[in-house]
Amino acid sequence: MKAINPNIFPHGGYWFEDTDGSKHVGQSWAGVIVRARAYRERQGRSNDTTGDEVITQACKRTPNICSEENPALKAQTKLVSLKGRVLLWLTQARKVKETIPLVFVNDGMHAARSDVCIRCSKNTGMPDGCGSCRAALKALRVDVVGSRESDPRLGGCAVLGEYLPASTWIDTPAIANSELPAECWRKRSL
Amino acid sequence: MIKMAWKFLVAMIIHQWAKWRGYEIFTPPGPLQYRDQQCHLCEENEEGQCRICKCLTLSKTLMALEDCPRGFWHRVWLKSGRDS
Repeated sequence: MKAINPNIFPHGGYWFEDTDGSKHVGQSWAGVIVRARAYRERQGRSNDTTGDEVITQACKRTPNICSEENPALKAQTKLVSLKGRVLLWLTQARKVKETIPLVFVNDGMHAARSDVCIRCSKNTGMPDGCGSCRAALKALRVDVVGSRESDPRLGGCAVLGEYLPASTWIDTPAIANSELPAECWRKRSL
Repeated sequence: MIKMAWKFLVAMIIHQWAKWRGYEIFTPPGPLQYRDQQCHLCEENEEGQCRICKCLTLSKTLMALEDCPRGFWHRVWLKSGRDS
């Protein structure tokens, strides 16, 4: 599978020629895909492969804007998505808090949980991002757990998408997830 | 990189100032829904990340004092404890 570099402006612009000869032009590749999908939807045609078709055609026309997907790119995408998952988790925790008051664990329990998470391979540092991401993360954490402090080595859980500086404070039931390491406190009540 | 650091600094100053002055940090439900809809339909939204500002749309829409780089939605200045 090829990946398009969105930072390179393609020679001839962003466009896609559909199988019926129609040409879809956009301001970006994402825009072209949206238009091609909308066009096919109006015609009642299948939309499953539209994105792949646009990318394949663009790469065939201008190979210099494409590259093979590599592990580094995938890891970066995963980091971006982890931040999204963490923010979503915090947003949901905030919504839950509005209806049911959250129950927090004591300092000793929090320290024990943090100790497990710090040594865990699934504890992923949150990448530096935009101002709003950092501000949202900080504001949501304060909103959910208040002034309770955590170890700065805690990041996001790559399996559950939870924000560990907050989740280690919240009293939550144990869950069954085969991806979690054996020593994880989320698998058993700690 | 310098541009991102500058934007981060500005964002943090605005949020801290707003918090200090008693403005809402989070977007109220109505405008939040509108913002989510606009971002969902936007061509620059690439799997939840804005291509223009490189921010996650989730965080961008959630924070009241953020605005859309394409101008589809604006900052919400709302004093805490008041109805919109």
